[in-house]
Amino acid sequence: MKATKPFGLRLFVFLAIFALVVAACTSGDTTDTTDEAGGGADTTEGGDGSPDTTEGSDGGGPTVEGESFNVGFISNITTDNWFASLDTLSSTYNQAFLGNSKVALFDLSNPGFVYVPDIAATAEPVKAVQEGDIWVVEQPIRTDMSWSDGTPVTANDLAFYFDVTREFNLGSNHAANFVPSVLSITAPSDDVVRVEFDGEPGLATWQNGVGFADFVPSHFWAPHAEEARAAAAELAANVTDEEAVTALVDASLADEDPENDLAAEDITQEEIDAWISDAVANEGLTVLYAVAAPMEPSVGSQIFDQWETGAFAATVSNGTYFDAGTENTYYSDGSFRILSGARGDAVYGGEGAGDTVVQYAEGPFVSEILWVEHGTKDAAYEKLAAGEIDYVYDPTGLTSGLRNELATNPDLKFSVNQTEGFRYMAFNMRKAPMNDLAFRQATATVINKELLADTVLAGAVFPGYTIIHPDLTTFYNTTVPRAGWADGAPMSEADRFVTAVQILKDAGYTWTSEPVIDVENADPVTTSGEGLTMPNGTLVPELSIMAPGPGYDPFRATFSVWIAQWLKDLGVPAVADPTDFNAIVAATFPPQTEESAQNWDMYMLGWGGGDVSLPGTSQVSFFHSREDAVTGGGFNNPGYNSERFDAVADAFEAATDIESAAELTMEMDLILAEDLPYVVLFRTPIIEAYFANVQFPAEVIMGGHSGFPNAWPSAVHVAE
Amino acid sequence: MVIKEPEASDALTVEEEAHVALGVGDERPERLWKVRLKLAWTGLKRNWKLFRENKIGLLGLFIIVLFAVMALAYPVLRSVGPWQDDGIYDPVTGYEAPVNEFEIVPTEADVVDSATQMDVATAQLWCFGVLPGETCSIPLQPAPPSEGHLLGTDPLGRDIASQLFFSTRAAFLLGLIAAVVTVGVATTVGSAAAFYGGWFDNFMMRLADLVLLLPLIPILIVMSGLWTINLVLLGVLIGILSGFGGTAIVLKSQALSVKVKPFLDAARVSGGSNGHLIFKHIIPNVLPLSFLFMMFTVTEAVSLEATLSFFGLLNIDMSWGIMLNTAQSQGYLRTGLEYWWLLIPAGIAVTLLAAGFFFVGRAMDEVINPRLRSR
Amino acid sequence: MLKFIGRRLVQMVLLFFLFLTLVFFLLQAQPGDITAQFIDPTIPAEVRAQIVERLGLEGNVFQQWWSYITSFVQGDLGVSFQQYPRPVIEVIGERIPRTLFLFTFATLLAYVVGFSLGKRLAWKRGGFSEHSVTVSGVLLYTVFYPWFAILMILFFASGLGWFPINGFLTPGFWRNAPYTGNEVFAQMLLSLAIGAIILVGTLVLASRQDERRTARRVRGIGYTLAIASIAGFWLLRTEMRPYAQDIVHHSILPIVTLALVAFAGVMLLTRSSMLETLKEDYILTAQAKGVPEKDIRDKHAARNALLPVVTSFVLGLAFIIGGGVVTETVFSWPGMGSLLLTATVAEDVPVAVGALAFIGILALVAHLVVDILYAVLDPRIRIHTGN
Repeated sequence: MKATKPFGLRLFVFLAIFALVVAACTSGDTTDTTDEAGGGADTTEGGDGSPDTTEGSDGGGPTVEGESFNVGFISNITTDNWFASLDTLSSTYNQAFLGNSKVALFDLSNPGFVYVPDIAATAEPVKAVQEGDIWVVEQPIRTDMSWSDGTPVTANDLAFYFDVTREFNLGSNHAANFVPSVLSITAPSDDVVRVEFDGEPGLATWQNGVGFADFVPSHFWAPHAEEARAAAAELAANVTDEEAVTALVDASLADEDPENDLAAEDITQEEIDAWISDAVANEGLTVLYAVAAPMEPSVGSQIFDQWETGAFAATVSNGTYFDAGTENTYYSDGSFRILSGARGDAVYGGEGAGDTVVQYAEGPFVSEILWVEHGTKDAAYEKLAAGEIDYVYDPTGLTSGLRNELATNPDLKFSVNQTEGFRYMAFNMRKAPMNDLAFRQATATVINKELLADTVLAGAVFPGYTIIHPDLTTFYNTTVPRAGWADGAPMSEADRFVTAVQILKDAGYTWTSEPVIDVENADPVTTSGEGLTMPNGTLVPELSIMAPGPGYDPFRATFSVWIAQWLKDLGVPAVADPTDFNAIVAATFPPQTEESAQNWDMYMLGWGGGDVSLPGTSQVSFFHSREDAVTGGGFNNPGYNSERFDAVADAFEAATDIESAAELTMEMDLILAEDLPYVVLFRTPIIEAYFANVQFPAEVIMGGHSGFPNAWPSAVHVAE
Repeated sequence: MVIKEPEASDALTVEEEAHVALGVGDERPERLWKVRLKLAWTGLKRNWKLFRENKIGLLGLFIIVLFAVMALAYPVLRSVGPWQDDGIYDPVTGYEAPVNEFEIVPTEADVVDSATQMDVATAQLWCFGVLPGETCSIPLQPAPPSEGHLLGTDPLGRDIASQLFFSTRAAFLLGLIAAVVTVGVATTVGSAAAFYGGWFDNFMMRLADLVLLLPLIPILIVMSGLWTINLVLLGVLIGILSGFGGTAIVLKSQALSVKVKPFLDAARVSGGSNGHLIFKHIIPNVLPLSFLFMMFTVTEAVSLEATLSFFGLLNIDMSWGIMLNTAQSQGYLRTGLEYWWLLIPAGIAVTLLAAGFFFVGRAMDEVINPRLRSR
Repeated sequence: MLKFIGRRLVQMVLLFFLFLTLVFFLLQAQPGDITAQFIDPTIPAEVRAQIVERLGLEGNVFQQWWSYITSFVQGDLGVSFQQYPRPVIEVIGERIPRTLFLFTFATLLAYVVGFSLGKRLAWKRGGFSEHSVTVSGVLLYTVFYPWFAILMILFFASGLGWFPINGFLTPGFWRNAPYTGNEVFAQMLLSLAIGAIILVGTLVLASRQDERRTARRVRGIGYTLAIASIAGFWLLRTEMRPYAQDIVHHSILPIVTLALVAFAGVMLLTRSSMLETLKEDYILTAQAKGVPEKDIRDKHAARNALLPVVTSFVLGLAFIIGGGVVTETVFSWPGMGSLLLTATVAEDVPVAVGALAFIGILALVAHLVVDILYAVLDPRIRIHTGN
């Protein structure tokens, strides 16, 4: 036996010493750290020179004096590429820090969502005129704007964006800016944008489509586009028809539906060419989206500067921001006044009458914005409470626990706002009895959302009745009937059941034992109904209500459990089925086949906000029959198919002015409330917290500050 | 809870003892079970004596019994006890919250009595859109412990005590499934590997090495992304994963020591098939050791369920992990100990039950393995 | 020696392929279509076909398996959905240094403390101190880990304010930093590696000295050298040092939390393997001869209990890595573990599976390192394999 000391002990001694050394370093650095912090600050100050030089060479203007504004993200940033942030990596966080760098023809005012010109030189969008087969808009733009490197912003910057979008098949938001009916965008001169359409453009195509598309710095992106083009060309040179055929056949075999399987001889040359051109475009897109773009020239209030992955991103304020010094005023009549040196004085969306609701000037008033990544919500708010960040950028807002804790914190301020989105229960209208209007009406009648929202969930949510949010007054239809209401007020629990039973009876439903309703009782159904039979004589089968579990969303989980109970009382054998969020999406959203679409009865999910200036587009995409999840691959998951609705929806899409669009939006909501493909359940407010020395340009804005991340960086104040 | 048969690496195997008792060669199988039972009983007594000396083991047993009582008490409390009201005490759908009414005043300076008045700006956080002069009713949820709710209520106004008791049952069920599956898998794999040897043994042991090396948490996290995992499936998954790993290796070496015993040769000579040999001779002798591993599997299963539920990855109505998940998702976990009843009971329950089984398993280990006993 | 290492290496590679195969079948066995899982439905159909091809998802199961393995070896793990079109390997590569740092430190801490405590525990039977240490050890071992981590944050970060609440660096301090976080991590790992190499070299050298005193002297010099080299490494990097310190400051609480939980397991395992050794004849002989207890413990028992402890190390690796996932998530430490969880929640299957595979690699490599280290240090194995 060799007498040696155990290795572990030695290692321990060693590590202990090492730990001491580290500790010595760190503790020695408590003093040091302050020094270092000072040194760090020095570096930053000295360093201000170095970004300046970069800006100088990269073309930045003067920097902005002021505090640094620290924004806490509750999730990670996933890209620093502006193109990717609007397509494959379209997270609200990416857009929040990258999106303050561009200008569009038109914009929505903050607050009020008034349609106002941005770089457009006219107050209103130029009307499209017919030229032969096509329709054309020639929109003049301002010539006094320039990118932060001094290059002027020209019409060519929009034309470039359009060309890139088309050439590389850019998707999502890019594609939404330029719908297929946009044929071309060109720049006949630096100050005129010429847009060609294949027909008379509706609002969503021109005013709210191309009108909202950003100008991108073409001089910065052109070399990258060239690289992308080269990569695409290389692929195009190497890809063969055989490869395309193999890929197409394999793709058809890969999904397990044998009906979709293709043999090589089934594939036409057209399909091959399409595949190749898509593959080539995608190759280009991949190259374009992979460009890391710090110091991309900006015309907006912020210039993206640094991203330390997993930790933070930084944008510096643009000293040459085109709107600096502009005075904005929002009036109680819903109009918006812009007073600026360059643009003069103009009022949009009304007369400028009534009281001043909000008035603020454009800055930017902060020197830079740090967008700090956090893994969880709690972590971000903890840093807020500790004073390390100024504002938590949190699209879902404070939870009840955080609210209870932070409400008493004197250092913090809160803003509470409505959100445009809604939570709903969808019926599978491809199946009985959900395909029966009477059944849906009876179900909607017994759902006492007022009770759940006001009492059980303690006012944390509001009951909802329409797809369109009531605060979007231009589009909201006040006359939409509400299920379970009578004489302008919610019915009592007992009346709901009486009404629902009557609806079912009238439609020919029968029970083996009808529900017994005691009007006097607080819980009116003393004996649940049993053996509910459809008019055609078949028993109503067991129906499942898929909803996210309490771990994911306690609100929807609570709703699903209560709704299942009410339906049971009615005699409908319904069960709440807490299901993974992703499993619900997989079961109900496209891609679906006729068979797979038979696998669900009802589900609960929610939609976030859409385009507040044209909310009807959401109605169309959720309910138009061409958007059917099975046949159209769209978001019409219930399989709702109504000629009446489709006709109104088509008219809405063709509308060229906001008045008729609003009227049609209201009509759509009315039809939906009658046909009930969805039962809209509730909406949630958003509570945001920030430090008391922070002043946002507007406190009241639907969706909160995180709903419009590009509305405030140019005007937020941080007092010392 | 305690070993049913005497078993020790250096003790006689059951079968040998039986053979000894009967006299070798005196094959009277109809009486074998009686002998076995008797042996089991004496063994049980002997082991219990050893176990009793182990204070930590007793502590573990006490913890387990305590939780078992909770699990058994739950249906009683719900059906005839004080928790009969489904609307209040149901662990998933129950709801009760005392409501505080506040009169809304224009500014903070106008607040005279902060218990009944609130300024309009602060009130917006609870009653959005409320105006001065109106009232804002704020339900107190989570509510601190009171007479009706001994451990208070959770952020959704549900009774914590009821949830805690209800979840105990789920924890036991999960542990049981995981333990049975582990033992089933490990005994089969271990015995078969020992019996057949060769490439089969080699492959199985490499597989076991691998499973042993792999962290269960990340695997189960990824699995939860691919499947919808409920309590039973989780139990089975944990059982399979831990059954293929270390347990199989240990049981294999135990089976190997049985394989070389003379009675096995005797049985082989008398014409027993392979299956017969494995199931009638090897497995019964390996089984007692595997009970030990059941305990450790329960520990593992309870911890894993809690962790996965905490991250919201499982499809389970209510469990200790879900209780913490609810508190976390509503933002109550980082608020210090102000809402201790959301944080402490569930955390302690998971820790204690897992530890209880570990204590018992450890004590059993010392009973079975004489080298670990006190001098 | 080389033969031994070579054999272990081959074994590990085989194990790894077995693991990849398991992962592959895990994907296969899930409900629904593998391509549907691998390919984001929002990606256009044509692009999807391309990805199908690139991932080798076409053909029969065996072909799929083969192309999965080959593309894995070539480093092609597909493309992230969440960060499309970034390759998975790149997403993971960004996280590796951060996880490696956390993991290495926590493991060393846990094992050194766990081993020495377990050793003492085995020697002290019965008493109150044994019971209390054992019970608290078990409680630490079975503690509801995320809950424990939150309590640690509440107490040491929010309450006492000794440590940052979460994250791995101070954003304001790193604004305009001349380095990226990963550059600093790389240097930190490098310095650790230099120290570790010197340390291992010392131990090998020392174990070959026949004279005990020389061995001790060799070790003394080696330790000093290792510490000095790490210290020197950072003394030379004056500009980077404050940034490294910032990271270290952020890492202390997660490392200690993880090590606390992991050390209990090591302690318990060391204790039982020591107990087994204590019943060996030669220990009894030594006792009979009247060798001092401390000497028996440190020189005879502990040394021979090392083999089971190495085994337990291997077992514990899985535990620490698993705990690492929780630690990273609770502490917002953007490493592989938190990547795995967020990718799973976001249904980013390629990244989740890729992270799982890399976690497997981490476990296997750590296992290999320990094996080799043990072979180098243990004279019996060295003699067996014959120099």
